[in-house]
Amino acid sequence: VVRVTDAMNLPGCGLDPSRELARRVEGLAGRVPLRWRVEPRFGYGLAATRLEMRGPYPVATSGSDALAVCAWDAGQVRCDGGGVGADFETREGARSTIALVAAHAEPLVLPGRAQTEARTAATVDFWRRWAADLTYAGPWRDAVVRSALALKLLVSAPSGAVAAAATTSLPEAVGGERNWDYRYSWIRDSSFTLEALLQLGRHAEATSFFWWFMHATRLTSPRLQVFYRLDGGAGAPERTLPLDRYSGDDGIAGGEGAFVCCAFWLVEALAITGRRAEAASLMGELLRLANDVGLYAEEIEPVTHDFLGNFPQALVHLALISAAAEIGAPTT
Amino acid sequence: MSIGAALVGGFAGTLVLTTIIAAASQLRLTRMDIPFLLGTAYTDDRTRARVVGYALHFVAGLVFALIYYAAFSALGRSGWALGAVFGLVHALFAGTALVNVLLPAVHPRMGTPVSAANSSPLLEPPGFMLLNYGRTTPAVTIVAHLAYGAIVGWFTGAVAR
Repeated sequence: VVRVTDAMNLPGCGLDPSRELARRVEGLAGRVPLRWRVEPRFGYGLAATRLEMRGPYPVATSGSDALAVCAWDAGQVRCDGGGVGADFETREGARSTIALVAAHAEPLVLPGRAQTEARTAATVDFWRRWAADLTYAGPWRDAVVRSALALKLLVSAPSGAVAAAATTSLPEAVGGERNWDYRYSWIRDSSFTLEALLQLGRHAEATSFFWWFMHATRLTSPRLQVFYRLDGGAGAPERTLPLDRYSGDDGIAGGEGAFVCCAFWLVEALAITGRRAEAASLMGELLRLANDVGLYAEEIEPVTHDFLGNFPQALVHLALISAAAEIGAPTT
Repeated sequence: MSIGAALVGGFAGTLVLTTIIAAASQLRLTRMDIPFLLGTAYTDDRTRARVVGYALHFVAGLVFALIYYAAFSALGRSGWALGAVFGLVHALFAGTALVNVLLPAVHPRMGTPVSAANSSPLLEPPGFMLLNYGRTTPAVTIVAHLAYGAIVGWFTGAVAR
């Protein structure tokens, strides 16, 4: 048995990597053989990538971007075929750490093991404290906390904008044309976002988002755009990427799925109209459709329950929070 | 020729050199960041490192201008073309001995080919002609230093006339 912890490490106060994604693997019982592999690509896989060993570190570079793989007690690292990886066996009490550190337009900062592990521990502590401060106290706290965390992770820290989803180009219908980039902020979602953040007592995030909204929309006033860039810019030139994984039959069955946010809005509507038992029952059903870490894509295929569309989608998690709050609200 | 003109040329040349490197970075030609490299020798605070680094870089630009001035004086002539030749030599020196021998020797946070993964964060070493920061980094370095040298030479020669 192993426990895997993934963290986008928060920076400390010293010279840390500008971005660090860490994976901690802890052996809890028995012996478990494990294999890991990283295949770094840049610019949607279109930019030429150079992969080479720099001392003990495999480093992938492309233009002004670089990514180093740091692994401790995670096997003998191999660098081949455009990727980096290793096999290792973990046992009870053992701990391995793998970190991807990135740099843009500057030299890489290659961390020591102790620093990376300390940052991972501090990151876990930070998010636990953040989640503990959420003001929701109803029966679906775990799902609400997970949704609030998803929402927080969709916040662009420099601007306060909330992205519609973290991914681009995952199609709503397999083989269809609705495969947009959701890493923009949709004005449609703004009031839902503010309401959810305020319901959960996250006033700092709500204030940041409100002022991002005011600045972004002022640039195009009196016209409102459907969406704005996360930096508040209005321009979003469209281009087509040659990402064809989903263009044909890739084994995912069915066409377009059901919009998950609508299902949570139904829960909310049932609760508002006093049909709380039905609302609670449907809420429970919907929560069972989340993935293994409690997240939702934009749509769910009705038969196979496969996720469709970009992921995780803010609007779905906003609707979940709102539905949970409404069921738990005092009856009027 | 005057020291004052050389110093003005050194300031203007450093300004242009820094701008060329920053522009090259935005154009995805290099990850070289000289202020960051210099500043992190004195502080591990990223923001403060860049401010300190810019100051140190401009001081270095003035010091090199004085060295150029001494060489112009020794040769008895100056001008943008001779300055550019000095700039080429300067670029080759910077890309080899300066960043690979001298800088790691005084930089407490810079790795070298013999560094192990110890407990201190290590800056990625530049490598020969700063190639670790991108394949076009040597070209960027040479172009930036040619511009620096030509500007110092031009300022020094202009005052001479």
